[in-house]
Amino acid sequence: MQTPRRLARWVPSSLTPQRVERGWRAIAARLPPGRRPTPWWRVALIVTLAATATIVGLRARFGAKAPGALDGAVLETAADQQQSLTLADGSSITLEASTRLRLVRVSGKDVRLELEHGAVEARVVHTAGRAFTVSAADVEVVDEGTHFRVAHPGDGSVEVRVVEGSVQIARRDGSGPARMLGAGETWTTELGAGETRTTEPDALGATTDEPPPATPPTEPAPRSSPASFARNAPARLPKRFHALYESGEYGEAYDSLGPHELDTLVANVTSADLFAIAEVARLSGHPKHAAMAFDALRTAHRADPRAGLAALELGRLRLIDLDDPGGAAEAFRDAVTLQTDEGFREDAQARLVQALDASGDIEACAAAKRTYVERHPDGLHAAAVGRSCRPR
Amino acid sequence: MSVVRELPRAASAAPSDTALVVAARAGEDWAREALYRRHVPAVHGLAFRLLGRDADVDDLVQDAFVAAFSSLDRLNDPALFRAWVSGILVRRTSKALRRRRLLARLGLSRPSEPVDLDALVSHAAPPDVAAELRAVYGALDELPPDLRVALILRRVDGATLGEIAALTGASLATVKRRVHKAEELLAERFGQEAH
Repeated sequence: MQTPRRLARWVPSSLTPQRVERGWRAIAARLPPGRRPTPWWRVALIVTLAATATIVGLRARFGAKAPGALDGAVLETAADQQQSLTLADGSSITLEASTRLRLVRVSGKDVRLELEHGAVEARVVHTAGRAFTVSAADVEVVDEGTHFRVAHPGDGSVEVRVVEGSVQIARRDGSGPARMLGAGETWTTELGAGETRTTEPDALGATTDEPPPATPPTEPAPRSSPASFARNAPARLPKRFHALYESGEYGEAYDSLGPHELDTLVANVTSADLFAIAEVARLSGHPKHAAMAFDALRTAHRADPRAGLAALELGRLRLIDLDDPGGAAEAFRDAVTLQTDEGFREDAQARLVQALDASGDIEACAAAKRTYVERHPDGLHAAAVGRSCRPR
Repeated sequence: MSVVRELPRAASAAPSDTALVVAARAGEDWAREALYRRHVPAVHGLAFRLLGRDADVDDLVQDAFVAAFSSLDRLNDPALFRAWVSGILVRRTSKALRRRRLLARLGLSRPSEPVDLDALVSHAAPPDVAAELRAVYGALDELPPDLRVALILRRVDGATLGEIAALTGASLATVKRRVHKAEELLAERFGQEAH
């Protein structure tokens, strides 16, 4: 039989962004819950996951299914590189630029990594009975589950930052008491002249170290004035909130915040907590408060790696839940500026086109559409963008 | 003995399907969502072409993705996620069409509205393409579900017999038989020579 030609493109379906969103919400509601949402981590991992397929191959080459096959391997990244390693249980370790990491032991029961210099970020699948340890200089960081970063510039100092879960920090020689470090906390040690000094997190438990600044955005300031989110000393969210958030009980987590005081709370918490509040509000069906929290994050913490994603989520809420296509367009435009991940930037540009189309600003829509087509001629959203910006 | 490796830089910033499936298997919701967003245009389009109308497309697409994510461990090659979820969709669509046909025969449901050929076929289609599509979709509701699915995959999607077999779960011989029979019925209806 002769193979017939493909005629599918002449039978177009009407898949709109709204149908896509509705579809995902319906699917997500029917699926058993996975991990609790970790949007900030998603940003970092998206960028580096592209290497995971290579790492999967690397595992195969080393015969990594055999216990200990990776023992002794040293991984090193150049000054302009960032790479990820995924272990068999799904745990991932991201090496930042200029990093050298020795895999001392990698087995189902014991993972020991030696950070010789640079920085690594670990996203650890919690496994009962399995020890996961990162050592740097004379410090050992023992994971208690799940996401933390260790930096060791090579001068003897070590910094540990916990994003989620908790870790135990101890001296390798066993001297001094071990201490626990929880989500949102940072611990550093500086060595000099044979003495050890520690820089403690401030009394309220929030880190005073902001992530390294991204390339400063050059676009005009966002619609919300930074002054409206002027921050006092960071406040802490109730412990109950974090526990409910982690267990997926978003409605109760939202209620624990005292919704009537959210305005004040949003102005006074850390960027990590802002994202948690936004996600809880979104997932518990409170789009206005979710939008407020995302807006605060992308406005007051523009150098935070989560800022671009916050702008993107804000745009989606404004477009779909809050019937504010003009506001959505502003947020998507900001997301394009803030996003460092190319995939998300493409997504933001496509959504900008759709928001401008929905707002009726055909001229701006056409300009945004031209930009999308130039930058992403084979993009995922090319078909939908192509159908946009038609006069009504 | 230590081994120093400089790992190759990733060619693209977007994660591969393999990477997303690995993350989704580990329970990462964002990876499931990324897979859905990446592949829903193709899957939605396939459902629409198989059904010939917009009704029930969303439900079938959602069912297919839910089934796919619920049984991700059974996907042997993570790089083939799209083909795998498409196969789930095709088989569920066949089942839905069979059920609908049976209920209609038993008088337990109203027959579907006929396919709206004007709305279905793009106005930009060349005349010969439009004619072929109208011929296929004009006969669609008269065909038994398995023949219908095989015909659409063959004539509209241009799938090979092997691809149709993989999507439907039928043997190659069965697919050949179905496509041939569908073409015969189509030719009878329009009095044309089968392709």
